[in-house]
Parts: sequence; structure tokens; C-alpha cells
Amino acid sequence: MKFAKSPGIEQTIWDKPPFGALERDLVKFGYVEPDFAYVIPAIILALSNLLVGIAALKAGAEPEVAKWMIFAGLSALIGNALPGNINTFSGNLGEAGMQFGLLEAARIVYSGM
Amino acid sequence: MRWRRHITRKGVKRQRNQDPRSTQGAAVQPRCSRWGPLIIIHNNNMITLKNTATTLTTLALLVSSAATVGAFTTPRTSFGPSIISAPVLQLQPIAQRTCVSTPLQLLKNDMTTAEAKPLLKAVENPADINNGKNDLIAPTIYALYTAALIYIIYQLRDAIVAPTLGSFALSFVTGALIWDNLIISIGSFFFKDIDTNPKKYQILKWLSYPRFTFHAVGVPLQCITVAEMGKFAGVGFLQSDIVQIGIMVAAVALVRYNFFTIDPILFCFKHAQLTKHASPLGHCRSCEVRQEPWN
Repeated sequence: MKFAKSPGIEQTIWDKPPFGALERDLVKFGYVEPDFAYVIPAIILALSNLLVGIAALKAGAEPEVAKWMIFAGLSALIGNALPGNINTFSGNLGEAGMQFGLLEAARIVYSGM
Repeated sequence: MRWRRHITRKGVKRQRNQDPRSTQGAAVQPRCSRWGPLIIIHNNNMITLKNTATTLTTLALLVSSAATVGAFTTPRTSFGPSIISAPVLQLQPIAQRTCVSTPLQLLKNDMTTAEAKPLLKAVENPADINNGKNDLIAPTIYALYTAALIYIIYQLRDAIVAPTLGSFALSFVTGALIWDNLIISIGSFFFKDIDTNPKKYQILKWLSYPRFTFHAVGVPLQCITVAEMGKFAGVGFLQSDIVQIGIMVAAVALVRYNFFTIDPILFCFKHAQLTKHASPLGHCRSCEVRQEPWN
């Protein structure tokens, strides 16, 4: 209900430093009132990828799947953890990296079931 | 003695033009060989596109020179004469020039908001300050992300032989990320003027709502994918069906916590209310009287 009850979205206004940031060329919409709750699922997903990947590596049954899950988790975590204006680009790159890691894992998991 | 290039079936050879005046008033038809370059010879020799390589080289030079001089960089705001009286200018002698086209000559990247405040007073809208970089770089990065994700979803189509709820969630989130990056990319390419164009503002806003909706719905569901993969990889606690079902329930609960609508068509996102007057794009009666910048 968080998003549905929120004030919605508005055009992102780049009125704060750094004024040389590349992100200032982007025309996009963002939350009117950013809330930490919006990123909780993304954090849970990235951490669960990492933790399950590590657990799978220890289990040793499918090390390849485990490796790609760890890659996916780290990609999302590092991409979204980078600071400031870099995050605008690294966050989406991290998400793309996570999907790539899960794709490689899915090649093994969903073709062998 | 005048020479011009002439194409024959066997290739390009040089042919002597004995009397240039004899062809006056009649342009020679363009000819093209299947392996050779395109040659267009005008009767007065004013237009001669010798080959496509030359044309492409010329275009490349034009584009590179235009990029060098910042032709693709939209100057949104420049400081007017009033900035000359600003006290901060004493720190930046470059501002004494008659024409200060780039505000970055005054504003530094490492300035804090407090430091930049005196400078920003001289600007009507700080958001309009140009960053001095090529406007195409940022949206191109997002276009590349989109292309990469399209490749991923295309590969997923072949990779998933046994579809499950987890594999569906994986595909759904990949599709959501494609939409997310695509809208940011095309928004930055084609919606630069939404500050002055209410129609474009509304279009981009409508296109942007699914970005947030898909994100709120899809990301928690992908936890099911992780659980299925963990089970496949032999993680002990994920082998139980009860745990798997529990993760599904938790994911759905997270979706509900983050975002939940009974029927998006009859639900206004802006005013969080069910309405009979909602349009497919999520408008309600309250939206019609709300204060938009152009109302």
C-alpha cells in the first residue's frame, strides 16, 4: 500500500550539486517522497541471492549455479551501494548484472528440472 | 586536359574528357556498380561525390567536429550580466569575460549546496544549469542497458524449458527492467522539452508509472526464483516444501506492503482512491481539478 498511498511521482529535478553530474542530462520521473520502504525488497532480493548462493556453494551440489547466484547478489549490492550521482547509472547496471547472473543460473536450473 | 572517373562493368577507369563544353546543360546520370562506389558527375563538375567512403568520412568529420564544439550540448541557461555583481565571482576571474556560456565555469563539482547558493540566486532555475557534457551520453548508457536486458530476456526464452513460478518472476522482472531503462532512455532523448510542453509531460508521466508499479510488484516475486534455485543447488533449508510455500507467501506479502491495487484501471495512483471515473491511464475526477503547473 506504500506506493499507492504515496503522493505519486514527479519529474526529477536536478537542483543540487554536483552540477557537472552526467545524470543531469536525464529526463525522468521519480518518487515525490522517496521512502526507504521502496528499496527494502531490492535489498532483500540482493542479499538473499548472495546468502543462498554462498549456502549453495557450501552444499556443493551445483557450484556453477551457486557461483552465478553470488555474482548476481554482489552485482546488485555493489551497483546500488555506490554513492551519489554514480548510483543513477551503477544501480541499473547492477540490476542488469543481477539478471545476467540469474540467467546463467537459470540455464542450468530450469533446463534440468 | 580534364579527367573524370567513369564506371564500367569491369571496374573504375579514368577516361579523357575531350570537350567539357559539349555536355553543358545536361547532367550525366548517376551510375552505380554493384561492387564499386556511387559516382555522380554534374556537367559543370560542381557536385562530385566520388564514393560512399568519402561521404561517410565527411559525415564522420562533421559529427566529430560538431561534438567537439558542443553542438549536441544544449545550453539551457547562461549567466546574464547580473552575475558579474555576485561576490562569489571574485573567486573565479574567468567570469569577468563578456560571454560566460557555461555555468560550470563558476560552479564546481565539489561545491556544497551552501557554497553554491549565492551563485544559484543568479539563476532562475538551478535545475536548468547545464552540466557541460554531451546530452547524448546519459541516455545512450540507458539504451545500452536496455539492449543488454533485451538480450537477457531473449536468452531466457531459450533457457527456460520447465516453466515455474520462479522462472516467470525472473522473466517478469527482466521485462520490467527493460521498460524501466527504455523509458529513461527515450525520455532523455525525446522529452527534453517537457518543462514547456504539458502534453509531453503527461505522456512521459503515464509511461513512467509502470516503471514503479513493475518494480514494486516484480522485485519481491523474484525471491521465489532465488528459493527455487537454492533448492535445485541443494541448500538444506530450502528443500522443504513448507519453506518454499512460506517464501511465496512472504513475497506476496512484500508486494502487498510495497504496492497493492485491486484494479489499476479503476484506481487513481495520484490520489489513492478507487473511482468510477478513472481512465485507463489512472486518472480520476480529482485529477481534473488538481493543480498542475499548466492549470
